[in-house]
Amino acid sequence: MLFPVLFSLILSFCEWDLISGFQNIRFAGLENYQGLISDDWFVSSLMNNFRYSIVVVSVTMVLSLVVAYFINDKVYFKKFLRTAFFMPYIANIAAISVVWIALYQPSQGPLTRIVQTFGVASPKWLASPATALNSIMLMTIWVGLGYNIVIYLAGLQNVPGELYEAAEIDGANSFAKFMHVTLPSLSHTTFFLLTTTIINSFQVFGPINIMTQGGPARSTTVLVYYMYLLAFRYHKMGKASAVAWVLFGIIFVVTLLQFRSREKSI
Amino acid sequence: MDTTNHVKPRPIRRFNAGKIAWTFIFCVLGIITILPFLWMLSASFKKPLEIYDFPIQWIPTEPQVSNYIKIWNNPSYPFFRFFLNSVNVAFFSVIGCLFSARQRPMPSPRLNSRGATSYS
Repeated sequence: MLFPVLFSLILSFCEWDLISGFQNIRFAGLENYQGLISDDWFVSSLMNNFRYSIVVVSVTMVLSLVVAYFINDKVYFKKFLRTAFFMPYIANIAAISVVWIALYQPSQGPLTRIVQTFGVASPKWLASPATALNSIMLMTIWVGLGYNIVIYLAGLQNVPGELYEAAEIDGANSFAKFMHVTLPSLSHTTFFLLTTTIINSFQVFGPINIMTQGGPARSTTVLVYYMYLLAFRYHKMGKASAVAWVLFGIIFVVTLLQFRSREKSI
Repeated sequence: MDTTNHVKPRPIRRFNAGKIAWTFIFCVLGIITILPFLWMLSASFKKPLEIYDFPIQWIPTEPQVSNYIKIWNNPSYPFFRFFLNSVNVAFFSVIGCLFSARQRPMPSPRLNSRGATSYS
């Protein structure tokens, strides 16, 4: 089971073009990793990926907590709302991406028209380097929100009711109850969701491959997409493997930091 | 029939204005969330030129089923074949997962050595 993983680790120190057979694998030492540091395209995809992850993770976490908090017991039609927010998550990402390409169509797409009805010049969505990544973020937040809401709803079921009663007796208003009862009781759920959302955000590939192919002007190239380009368009398997291991390193460090900070807080 | 002894105190139903307001806000958000699906559903019954009509015609003036007929009958993209491929993948991956998941965890709690859980 570990063979593909080990093979990519070995490849990341080699040079190989994928098509010429195993006898042409040539040892290259740290060349691939050194090459990445001076590679503008890699650096910009790294920066895009960080920007993407920071925005997507923070918006998804905050929004899903707020929505879950409200639809848990503060609204009627709870089941309908839960289903509505969960629907984007169960739909296929390829189908969703194609639909959103149509929604984002820069001259006639529904979203463009809706923005125009407010009398504002519509952004060019996927067609402009300034807005392409933001447009993809908007879509992936919409996709991922439902999953986080459902997990938060499950977490909210386990918050003991006595704590709320005790807080009420102490005269806490609903904001104080949220901050001092709900939030601490959900810390396990928050930790789990934060970890998985960060990991997922670093692995984004599908929507980018379908909607923008990393463009315009490389503005939506993220790490996994760059890795895919290196491996299967430019046939630099060694360098692509190096990117994969850098990605692994980033995810590993981020997750490790989270576990550390969690141990401290308990 | 004497029912007086069986009448349970019913909870007082009062209309909670706050709850109604939140319901309204979140129903609007929920509907916005599923709008892309509704748009896609309505587009599937439209002619190509009508798709981008604005304001959006949620119910097409002349609903077309031709799109649905076309996907099943396109010789260069045999949809039925693709459908079977998906069924194939789904069937064998579920079978494969269930079988390997049934057998894998067996030894791990029984082996006490380091790394006993990390081989899969």
